[in-house]
Amino acid sequence: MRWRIALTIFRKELLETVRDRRTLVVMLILPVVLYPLLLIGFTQVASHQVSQLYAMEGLVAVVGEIPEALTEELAADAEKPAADQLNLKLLQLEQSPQAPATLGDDAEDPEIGALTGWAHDVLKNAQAHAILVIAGDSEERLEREDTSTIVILYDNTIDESRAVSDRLFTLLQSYRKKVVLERLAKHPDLGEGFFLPLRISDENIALPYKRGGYLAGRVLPMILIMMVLLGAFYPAVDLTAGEKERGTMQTLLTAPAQALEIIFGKFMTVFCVSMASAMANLVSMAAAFAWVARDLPGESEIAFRIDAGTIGMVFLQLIPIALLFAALMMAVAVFARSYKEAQNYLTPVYMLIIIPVTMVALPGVKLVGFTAGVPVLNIVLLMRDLMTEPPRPEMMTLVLIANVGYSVLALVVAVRIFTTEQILLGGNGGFGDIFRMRPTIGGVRRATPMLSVSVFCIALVVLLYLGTMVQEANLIWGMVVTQWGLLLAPVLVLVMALKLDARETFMLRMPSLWGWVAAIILGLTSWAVLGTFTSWLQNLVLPVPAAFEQMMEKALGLTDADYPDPLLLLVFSVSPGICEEFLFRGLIMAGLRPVLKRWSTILLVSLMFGIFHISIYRILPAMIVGIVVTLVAYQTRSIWAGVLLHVIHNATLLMVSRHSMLKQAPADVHVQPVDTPSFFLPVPWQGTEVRWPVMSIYIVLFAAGLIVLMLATRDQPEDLDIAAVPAESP
Amino acid sequence: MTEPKESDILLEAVGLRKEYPRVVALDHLDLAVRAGEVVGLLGPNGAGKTTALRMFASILTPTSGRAVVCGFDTSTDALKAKQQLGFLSGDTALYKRMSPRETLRYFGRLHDMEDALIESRSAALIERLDMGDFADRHCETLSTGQQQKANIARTLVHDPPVLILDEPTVSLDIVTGSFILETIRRARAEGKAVLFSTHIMSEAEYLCDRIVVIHKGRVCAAGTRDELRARTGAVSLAEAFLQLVGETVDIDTSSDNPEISCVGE
Repeated sequence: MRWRIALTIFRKELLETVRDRRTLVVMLILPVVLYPLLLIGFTQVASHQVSQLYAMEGLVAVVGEIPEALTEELAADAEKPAADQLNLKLLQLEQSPQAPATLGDDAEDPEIGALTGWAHDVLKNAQAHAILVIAGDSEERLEREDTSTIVILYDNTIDESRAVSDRLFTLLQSYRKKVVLERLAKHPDLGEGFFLPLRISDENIALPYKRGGYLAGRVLPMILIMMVLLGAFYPAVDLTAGEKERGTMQTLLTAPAQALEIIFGKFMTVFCVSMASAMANLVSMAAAFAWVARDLPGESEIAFRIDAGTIGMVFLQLIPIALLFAALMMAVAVFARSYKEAQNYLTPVYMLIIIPVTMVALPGVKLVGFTAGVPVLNIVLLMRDLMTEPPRPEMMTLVLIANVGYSVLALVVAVRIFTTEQILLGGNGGFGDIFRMRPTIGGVRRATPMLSVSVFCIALVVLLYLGTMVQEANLIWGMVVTQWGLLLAPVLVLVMALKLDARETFMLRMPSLWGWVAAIILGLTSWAVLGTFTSWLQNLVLPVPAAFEQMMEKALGLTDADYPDPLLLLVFSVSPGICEEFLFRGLIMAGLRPVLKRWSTILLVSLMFGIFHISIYRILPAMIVGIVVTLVAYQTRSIWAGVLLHVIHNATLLMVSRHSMLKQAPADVHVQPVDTPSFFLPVPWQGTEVRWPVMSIYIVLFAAGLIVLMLATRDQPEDLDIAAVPAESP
Repeated sequence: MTEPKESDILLEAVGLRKEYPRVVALDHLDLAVRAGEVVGLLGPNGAGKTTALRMFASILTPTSGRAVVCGFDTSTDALKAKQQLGFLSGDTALYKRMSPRETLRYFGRLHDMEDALIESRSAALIERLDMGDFADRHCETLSTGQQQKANIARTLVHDPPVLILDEPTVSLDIVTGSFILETIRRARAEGKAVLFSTHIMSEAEYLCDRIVVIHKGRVCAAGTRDELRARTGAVSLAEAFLQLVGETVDIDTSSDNPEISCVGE
């Protein structure tokens, strides 16, 4: 790459972008206006609402006799200065039901329950804001120094009702205090402490900046990320699809600039605009907050720690995320031939980014090792932390490294996409073909990527709802119905209905002898090799809780001695081996094969296979097994090799786990955790240690299986079907 | 016609082929354009003209065969080949928010020219193409004719020895169209090699030293206009063209068929 040329392109793109008014509006004007309006406007409306709530006269409908002392309390309240008044009015409604004769100390008193229907109506019709229930024997109980129960009925979803019930509670507390003092006067021998054994006081000790940050930290990072995204959006579309639409892309391509120089120039422009937008947002946000904080009453002591240091740290962290967004958006937008098309393509990307952004609102989501690795979520959590807590350098480093990694990855992908000639030229090819459901190539009807993705999504939803339902009804039959009825049958019907070529779609051909051999060797060894590897990896990334393991064991019928082995084998290895293979290595892979290269196909199919296992703890193990199965099916061009491997893998894993588990009767777990000198290894997920001598035999065999596979299929073209896709029209 | 001397050939295609999964866009094109020569690429829509020109411009990679610009292979030496080339087509638009002068500066820099040279070249082109009135206005405010002038200036800013023009007069009014044709004549006079595609017969007749007729991706005839007329017995080039294009549907055009070689005719 020649930097002089790359910089020339960058300078020109930046100049053109800055001259575009739309960009300027989104980048600078919007943030400068948005935050003050949002924050100052919001604060004013909120404080107006609150003061209205306080000024309002609180209407309390009383059921039963109003005690005289309470009326006196209210009269005393009316004497206070207006600001301190509780401002309550006690009413006796005409339709008021009879007060209960007595109330126990039970909160679930049936007498109260009988009143709630009427109380709802009163609150709904705003006849009163709260209801006070006083039992008929209340006065009498107080006379004889007993406890009288008074109940406040209110609806906390109605702001007025909540506010009035708070005020009423204050009134009753002062009433109670008065009663206590009266009793105290009658018993001079008892001190005040007798009636007040505990004085409970709570105080919010959160530092002022933390209180402000807590509020700000929930909302602002989300807005900030969205603004960075928006900042990248316009230039990313404009410099790729927009340029194709205007016809200037070809002009640029005739100039002696390398693809890498062009990408660099454009990418840096998108990045700079996105960062400038982020900076404008941050500064405007900080200014608006400072303004609001200045207006807040002194006693609330809410301050916001959006100072220069925080801004600096947030800015630093935003760099890789802006790089990531820029690369991601450009990589997608470049497929489009027009502005409008690009917006369509980018919508799912937007959704994908918004999901982690909103996850920050989930309770208990904190910045830890795992979340620090989730792109976008990590930066939102980090920004929240920065606003409320002292900075944690190790987390900041971790998030920074993770996001730099993601952005480099996205950039590499973007460069690869950009250097594909038909995409930059904007010929047919690309996404247009991906969205078609059933192209005919060479007289053969084939599945398309769109079909694959749709089938996967539908299968996932079906499994989630129907599958879970039937399996809950009956484990064994539920599994059978799910596999054959809900997965395989619809797939076969669909292939028939769309008149797809079944032989091509499902790769219904026999592998070579060595293909079979490879499938068998890999099937027999993968449970141990991959199982150990994934359990190690899983522990590193996201340790599986014991409760989940037990649930899985139960779901597979592992610990239930009533199920005979052959039945379990049929249900959990043969059946999924066939049905899941036809779904994943059959239809789903058939649609992806033509548009992706070998490893992209294998990884994507395996990822879908992992997600299909509907648990965050099973994605990784299922995906890794999926990679081996997909590789075998892909290399041998045969679904049967995949089926065999899948069946053997499931069978060995199932039997080894089951028998090692059944050996340890539940009563004497401590006696022996699978210690017999067996050829089989302890099951990885039981957390027992790996015996390396045996393990190394497995690893050697597994490697041998892979070698046999690659040798047996070395004559096959590397990328299956990829040439069969229309890339570009002449 | 005499055999072109090796040293004169500035633009050459040898067995050039572009294949897409469902179609062969161009099959075995042999062609050479010498300095001071204008060669026309004639063919109906979808004949493969644009594909051929894009391969010369290193925008597309040939499936097989070679395209050579001033001795640089467009596949292996794309940058050097592009340095020698000015490319203009209906698809090469200008940046709307930049002025012609800025555009010239930009493309000059992309060609790695010194700033001082860019300024003097730009000034000369603006003068020569009579662009003084609008050289500093944003391109989006210019008329089609003005834009096309700016585009020509963009093509010439680095003074390339080879010009490739893909239907340059399409959708232009007659004044601007003839301006372009004059530019081509002038380029020939300056000793540049010009390859241009068109489906307007009068243009080809007026300008071209030699004509290559392609149809459905294959060369079906090549030679001077008189040679083409003589071969088909037609009165005009248009008639000859129609005969040739109609004729090709059935003829065998395997790669060793002498009819499809235009270089040695």
